[in-house]
Amino acid sequence: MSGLLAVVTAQALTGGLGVAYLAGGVVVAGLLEQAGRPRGTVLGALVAWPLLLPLLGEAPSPTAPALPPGPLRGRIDQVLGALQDTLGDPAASEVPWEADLAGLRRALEDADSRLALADRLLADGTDGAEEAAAQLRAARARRADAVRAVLAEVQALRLQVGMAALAGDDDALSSRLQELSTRAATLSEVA
Amino acid sequence: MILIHRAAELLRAPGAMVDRIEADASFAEEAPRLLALLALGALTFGAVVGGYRGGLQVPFAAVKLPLLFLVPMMLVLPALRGLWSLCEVDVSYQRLVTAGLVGGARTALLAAAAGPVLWLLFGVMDYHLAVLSFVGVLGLCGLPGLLVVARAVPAGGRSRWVALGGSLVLLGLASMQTGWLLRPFLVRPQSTDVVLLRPVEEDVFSAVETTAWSALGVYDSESDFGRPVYRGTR
Repeated sequence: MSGLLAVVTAQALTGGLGVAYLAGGVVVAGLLEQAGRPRGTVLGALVAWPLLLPLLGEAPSPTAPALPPGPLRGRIDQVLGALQDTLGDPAASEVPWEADLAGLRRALEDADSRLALADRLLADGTDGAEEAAAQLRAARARRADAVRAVLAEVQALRLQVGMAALAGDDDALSSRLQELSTRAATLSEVA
Repeated sequence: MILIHRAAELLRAPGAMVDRIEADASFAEEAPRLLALLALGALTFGAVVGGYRGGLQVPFAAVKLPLLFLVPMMLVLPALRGLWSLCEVDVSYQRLVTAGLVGGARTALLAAAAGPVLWLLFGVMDYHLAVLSFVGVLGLCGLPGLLVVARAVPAGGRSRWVALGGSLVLLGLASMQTGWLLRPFLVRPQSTDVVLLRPVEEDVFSAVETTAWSALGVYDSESDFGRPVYRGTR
């Protein structure tokens, strides 16, 4: 009788703890869902909620409003996507690149959306302001050329990734990536 | 595709990955990816281990192996945070969890990579040597994961080595006892008794001792669960 009681008690305890754990997972997942966390994080919380508790105390990082795509957005996506695939190749060098590439993308997209703004203004008509419109056209052309030049250098950087993988010149690759990122950032600052 | 990138990153530079996740504040996005990699790696390794007997034991072991990696981490990490704080090393719980997930996922991927070798060895090993090989592979693959956690903790602090040693002991004990509760992972090929979980009996230390003696060929009798009991003087 006491043996049976021990088994029943152990089973009840195990079941109770299991239900409590699952309930904890549901509660944490619900709170993360309310906080606007990604769906994968919410599902992960159902299984391993103790590991995701730190997220409950902090607000989700604000996401920057998406910039309106400009005339070069397709080209930017194509070139940077190819570079990302190359840098992410397991055979590529071990240079940390995610932050620099994200910065590069932000800067190029920002410059591209400014081109889009200029295009919209020029399309609205320039009656009585021909001189200003000409200046805007010239500035727009210079900016578009600058963006294209950066994109051409990004393509060249892909080859440098291959060189670094073969020759082990990681430092040169890293500094080139940072230099491009910095140069792209100035596209938004210098007229 | 993103999982392949993350797998490459955590195998090549796990310490830098922990730093990046903290710097980018991308824990919410990266945690489920690390969990998925951990689960995939452990599931693969579990399937290999279950393959020693085959049949139903393959899915049973595959399902339990991810728990073997996750449960000790979930149990011990809060205690580790307290231990490091006691030793005046200031490390946030989120950084500790990030390091634990990176280390756990790295261990799981390494174990999955070692799976084919273990599978080959299973073909020429008897049961007890197979059990010891399984434990040995887990220990070998677990070491790089533990080093990730150890290196993720900031430098300095009083009695840092006490905290580090205590952390390793706590993680080791929790992993061993979790493994014991979730057994069997390896079942004899001729066994007809395949169960998801065995009843709780004795503890992990007496079981390791018995298996070690049995591997040396020292047997006494069969236990209720078909496990040989060694005949030695304690």
